[in-house]
Amino acid sequence: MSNTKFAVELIDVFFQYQDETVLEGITLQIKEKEFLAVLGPNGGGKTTLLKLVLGLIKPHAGKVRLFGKRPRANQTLVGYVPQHAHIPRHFPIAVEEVVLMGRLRGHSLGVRSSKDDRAAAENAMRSVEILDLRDRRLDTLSGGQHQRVLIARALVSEPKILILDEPTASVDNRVEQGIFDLLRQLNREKTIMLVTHDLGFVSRYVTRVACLNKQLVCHHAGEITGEDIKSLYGDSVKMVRHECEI
Amino acid sequence: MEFLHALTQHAFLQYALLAGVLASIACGMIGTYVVVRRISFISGGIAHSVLGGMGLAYFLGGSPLLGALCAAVVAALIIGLVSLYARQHEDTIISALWAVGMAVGILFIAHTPGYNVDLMSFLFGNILMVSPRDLWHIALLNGVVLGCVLLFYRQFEAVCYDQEFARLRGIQTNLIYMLLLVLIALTVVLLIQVVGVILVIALLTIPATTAAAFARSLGRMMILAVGINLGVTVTGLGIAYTVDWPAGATIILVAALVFLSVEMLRAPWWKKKKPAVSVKK
Repeated sequence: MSNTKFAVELIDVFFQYQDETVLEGITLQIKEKEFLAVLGPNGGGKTTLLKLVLGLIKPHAGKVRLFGKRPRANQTLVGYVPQHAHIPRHFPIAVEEVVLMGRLRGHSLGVRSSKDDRAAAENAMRSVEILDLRDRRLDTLSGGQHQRVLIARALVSEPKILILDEPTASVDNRVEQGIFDLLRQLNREKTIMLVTHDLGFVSRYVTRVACLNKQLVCHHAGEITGEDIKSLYGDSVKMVRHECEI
Repeated sequence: MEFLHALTQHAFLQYALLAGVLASIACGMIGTYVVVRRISFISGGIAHSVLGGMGLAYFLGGSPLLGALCAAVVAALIIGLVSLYARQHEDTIISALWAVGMAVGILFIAHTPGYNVDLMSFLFGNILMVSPRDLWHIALLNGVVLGCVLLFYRQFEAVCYDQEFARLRGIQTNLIYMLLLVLIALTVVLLIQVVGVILVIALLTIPATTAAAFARSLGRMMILAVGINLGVTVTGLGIAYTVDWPAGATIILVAALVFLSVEMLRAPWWKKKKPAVSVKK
């Protein structure tokens, strides 16, 4: 195990907001090209866990490593897809410009993006099949299309790991299926870590499921995916409930 | 027509027009950010606290413009720090700054020895009193605002759209946000000459909001907002001169009228609403 490369590594991490402990002794290692889904109830600390990995917040105790370094040092290796419900929809911006933001750096000056950036944006839009929407304003898109725009924005910097927060929240089943198919495809080259409520679809694709409610318990996908989807879903729901009682 | 004729006759009208045109540029660009980032309350706080600086400068016999500039930048920095680091108290602190700034300004103006200052022109602007020197100041501030917006265009866009993501891309989001507030402060100062402390916020937000519905990018929204600002300022000035109304107030009313007309034409209540995008849950 010692020479296995970890994309993400958390060692005995604690985090609290004011007096409330949100994460307690979290230890988690994600190997490169792994597809990890983090499940858990609302307020269980899922988003906090993502923010720690992204380096947006610091743990109160414990260690967080992203490709072996402090998260802030390796932030550019990450493609982050926030919950699309948290992104303003009525913003006067076209799809292509949102995607181009993924190429932005601290020293980017001026109004226009470079040729390279625009070529990369075109590729990213093509890979998630939204190239024909490039000139559309965001508020003319459906929820699923909007989600794809945010995935393209994350992909455009050619990240090694994709981190997604509830990618299928408030989209319908068909769209959800599409997004997970897309993620499975991306998983061939990239590590994926996502937070979700929907175990039904996830369990078909992910390598490992982490159940999080302050504390964390991991399940290998093998324990779950061996069975038929319906019973899997039932099993998994039980597991989540079990974690809730901790 | 009378206005056009007068324009060729009177230098003060030409100055007024030029001031209006210059102010429209900064106003349209910065107004766009104020609208999309939804910080009109913050901008209002900056604008009103400026009166304190103007009053103090007047009392000390200095230039009110310089006083306004200092007060605006200081207010922007205080409000910026509060909104970044003490979010839960943001609206209380802005309201306090808003009122205290005005109170301080009025006290100083009341105690300024000598002839009585025209408080009304601070509060509601006096574009017809613009001097060539004021014009230079307005042009300079305008240049600074324009330069910063062009230079940091994509960074401002990213910070307004999705601050968290911008931070992950290595952008100094807090610094960019503070810079934006300082640019708002500069714009407020150059607009005060046109519409005064109280009406600034309307000129910043109304034309930009009118433009928002038609633009596919911040840049286009800015161009459109600048255009609307120009039209509104010139028309307002013309009406004000012709019927002898206060210019600042007239400009604002024209802006509001344009906004209302556009909204009515755009979304007629008799037309059926498009069904919303299907949403689960």
